[in-house]
Amino acid sequence: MNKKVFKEAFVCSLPVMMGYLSMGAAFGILLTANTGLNPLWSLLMSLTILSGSLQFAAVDMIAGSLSLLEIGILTLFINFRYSMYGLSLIRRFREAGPRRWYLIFALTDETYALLLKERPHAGPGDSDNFMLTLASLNHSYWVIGCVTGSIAGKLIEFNTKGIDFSMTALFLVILTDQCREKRNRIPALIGGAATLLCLFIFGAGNMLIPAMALILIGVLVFRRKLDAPEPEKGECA
Amino acid sequence: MNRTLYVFLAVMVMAAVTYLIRLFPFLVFGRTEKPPDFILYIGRVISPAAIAMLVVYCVKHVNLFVSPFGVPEGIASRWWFFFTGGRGIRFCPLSSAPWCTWFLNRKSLFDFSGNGTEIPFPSG
Repeated sequence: MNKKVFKEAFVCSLPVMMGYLSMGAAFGILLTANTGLNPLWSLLMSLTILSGSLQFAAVDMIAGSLSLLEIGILTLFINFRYSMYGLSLIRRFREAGPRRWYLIFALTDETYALLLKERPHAGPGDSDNFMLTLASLNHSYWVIGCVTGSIAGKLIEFNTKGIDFSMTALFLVILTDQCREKRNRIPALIGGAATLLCLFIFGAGNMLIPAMALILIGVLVFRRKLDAPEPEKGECA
Repeated sequence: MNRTLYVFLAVMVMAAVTYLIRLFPFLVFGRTEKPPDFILYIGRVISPAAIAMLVVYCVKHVNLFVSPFGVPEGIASRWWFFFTGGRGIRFCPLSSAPWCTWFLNRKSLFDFSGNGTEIPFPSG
């Protein structure tokens, strides 16, 4: 491993480190407090799922014993945005050879943002190593944060009231980022309104699946209005 | 199904579906120049809609008519704006927001009912 590439990737990943360690710790504490699962589960989830939004939602899903089908559908809905990230990285990842399978797995919101923004200064041939180092550093921060939080949750008597707001904060940040683009505001409004409606009709325990159905209907009904032509972005879109 | 098996299968379902989602564009459109417009449209609009859904889902238990009237959540939601103006460096304020609500909930600062009890900080 080229030290210069590692150093560059490490410096780029510092902001993510702060976020992932803290959010991961919040997740670990919540998982332990709400489900009683031990830190090994936190390790398994952070190693294999690597998705903050889904893992926070998973705490509720597991605590509520949702069926595996419901979990699968909710996962699809919550994480669908990742497939859009890949569209703009197809060419770059194709050039990365077998390493692309890990790069694809490690494509989180933050890693995607960094991959789009940051390029290595070390040399043109170091791009693949840089991407791989950056992605694995971010992954390791997340794993360390989750496991540490989970261990802390086991060892320390913690009143977690308020920590569950980390999930809300995470979604609010993603939503605000998305709503900077005007074209995302109406879909967000449809999502919020449909969910509120389902909350009032079906109650807090049964709102998600009808809300997803209503959102799908809403975005299909408004397709003509929402699908206005946009200037092309990325390599493939 | 016992609980350990259930949790293991749940984690595996989440991991597999998430990887397939990430893999989808590379498998389906890896060799084509442009994905179908419908896929691009659904992908673009579902993402903000789903995240807005999750925001509502997260605050589903907040009652605006009962003390503390959602005030801690409201303050924490604005927390990161004070630092960034909504412009970018998101990780520091994002990481502090949950701890902000946690603190506000501890001190019963917004229990206007007069019946609130002081919850002590964790001894650890």
